[in-house]
Amino acid sequence: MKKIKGLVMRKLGSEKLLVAESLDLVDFNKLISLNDSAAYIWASLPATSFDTETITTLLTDRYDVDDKTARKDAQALIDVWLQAGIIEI
Amino acid sequence: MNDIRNIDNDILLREVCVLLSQGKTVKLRAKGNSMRPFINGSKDILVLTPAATLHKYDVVLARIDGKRYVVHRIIGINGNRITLMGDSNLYGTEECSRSDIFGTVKTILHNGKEHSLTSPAARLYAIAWRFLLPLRRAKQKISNIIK
Repeated sequence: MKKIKGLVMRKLGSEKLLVAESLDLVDFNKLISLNDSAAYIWASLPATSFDTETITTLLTDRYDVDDKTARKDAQALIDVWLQAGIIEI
Repeated sequence: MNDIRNIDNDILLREVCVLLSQGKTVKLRAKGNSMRPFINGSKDILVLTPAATLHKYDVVLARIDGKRYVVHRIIGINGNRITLMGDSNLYGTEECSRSDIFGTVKTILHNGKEHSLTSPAARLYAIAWRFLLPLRRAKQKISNIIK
């Protein structure tokens, strides 16, 4: 999987948002708000490609969760992100 | 987890102003109804470009009293003093200086279609609307009496 190009994470007040940006245009029309753990994962994911395993490892590295729960959470996050159109297969 | 939330308008607009001053164009959903009939709040998308030369009847993003932000139309320029008014407002105006104006709304997206706010036709329509202000005020008074 890959992140969609041109999405930049911005911190506005207490909110962390994904905003579509190109060289000279910033689109605040469609904003995706990320909670703390989602923002951490997004920021830590490589620009090239990643899979469920990458996110599972990020979760177990940072949070006190077992491998099985982390994998379930990682899959759920991927499903939501695919639906939101911010990552692609 | 990934829902689109309502971000505090002032925080969002402060960020928009920073981006505009960096020379970026910003797309933003309109809020409020003070610019009707030209801009429909929560439906139309504004395309803001960095403020360059200001003209009377331009629609601009401005900071008022150093705190709140409005997207209203310039109805007067007197040296450094700029007077703004929402198109649907009957009396309320705002004053600011040139440096409080961060961007100009050149176009809006209405139902996905682009509409210029700076074309000669749009400007003429805006001038006509402004000249109709006494009539719009009278209409409001009459409907208040009927109520």
